[in-house]
Amino acid sequence: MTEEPKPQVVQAQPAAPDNSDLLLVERAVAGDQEAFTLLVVKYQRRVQRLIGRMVRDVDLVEDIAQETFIRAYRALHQFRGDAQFYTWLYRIAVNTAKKFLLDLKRNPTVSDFAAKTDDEGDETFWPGHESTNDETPESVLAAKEVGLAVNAALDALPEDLRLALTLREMDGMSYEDIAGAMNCPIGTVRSRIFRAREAISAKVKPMLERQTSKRW
Amino acid sequence: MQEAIKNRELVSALVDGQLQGEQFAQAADWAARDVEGQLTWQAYHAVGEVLRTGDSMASDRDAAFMARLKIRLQQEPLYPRQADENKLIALEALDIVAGTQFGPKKYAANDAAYRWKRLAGFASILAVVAVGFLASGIWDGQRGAPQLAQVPAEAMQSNPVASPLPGDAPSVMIRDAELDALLVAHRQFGGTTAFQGPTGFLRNATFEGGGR
Repeated sequence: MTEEPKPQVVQAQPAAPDNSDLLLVERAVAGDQEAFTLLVVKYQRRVQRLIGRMVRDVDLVEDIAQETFIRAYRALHQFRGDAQFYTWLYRIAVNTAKKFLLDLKRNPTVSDFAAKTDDEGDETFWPGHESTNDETPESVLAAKEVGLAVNAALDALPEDLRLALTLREMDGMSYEDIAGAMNCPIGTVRSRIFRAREAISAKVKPMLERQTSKRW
Repeated sequence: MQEAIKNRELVSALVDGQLQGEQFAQAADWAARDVEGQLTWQAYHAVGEVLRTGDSMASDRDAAFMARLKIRLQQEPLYPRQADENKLIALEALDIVAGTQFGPKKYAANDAAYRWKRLAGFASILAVVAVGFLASGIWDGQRGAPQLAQVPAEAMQSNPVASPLPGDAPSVMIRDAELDALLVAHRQFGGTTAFQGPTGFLRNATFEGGGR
């Protein structure tokens, strides 16, 4: 009786050290303000999601997010890359939200998670897309459409592209680890991830263009 | 076309933090400044967000958010900044990161007006102190001012006054009511003497003996 070869177990690895944020910060501090807008686009959702756990008012969430990014920009030269950029941004966002709530003398609707954690939390923790005040049904529907389009496009991908992208985005693996898991060169990993993103974003871009008819 | 595909592949690698040096600069420039680059950067992050969280927060308010933020960023001083300004901002940043500063911002749009208000307040305090000092001086001066031929009511009566001269026999000065009345009537001439100072006390002194 021959023993079947054990399937290769892919361990979720922490993402490779990503210094692209630090490089963008350095460009911004060197005078390239557009580099900072790339960081804003990258982290706007996460910051708003974080603030949304503390405040149930879309307008206020946006105001606090604005103030968070402005404060981050003012203090940008303080960021040395010792921690992840989002960890640094996270603390600014939490303190800005607390200050806003104190100033407004509101009762913060702070969930247990946001109240107890002192860390950046779990990125995947999000109890559904809870509708907050002033959020229009159209915007909720548009967000759901984007989600459905991404998942449908992902399902339609060839196996190697889908696996490469999910290992990267969902498991946070580095290109090197993905190359080891898929037994292919790193350049192939980079190409597969790019092609997967291209295929999915081809479905998503028209929706984003409708939502944000004007680029920044 | 090929250039655009190459740029998008670079942006994909930039999203994953895989670029360095020249390629990083090229991808960052294209993603930040080119319209298609901006949309690509946004789309790739939206895809990752959906895969990680299962949902998208893409909203039609995003454009307004970015436009508003851009306006505010344009009002901020550009990097690199002056050294002393950096020092102040660093203090603010430390406060923010440490979570110890919940007071008013150190930088506010009305800082200039607030400085004038502080100056006005300080000037008001100075004015009050100055007026108070002058008032107390006047009051003290009134207390210590010479009594120009003032005669107490009881002094208008003829009372014996003890002579202050030492070694002399106690003399008695009989007040002259008419003289006192004359002095009161001509007070303006009776305030000073050759001493060029108030000498009202001399009016009550006498060197004469008790014969007077």
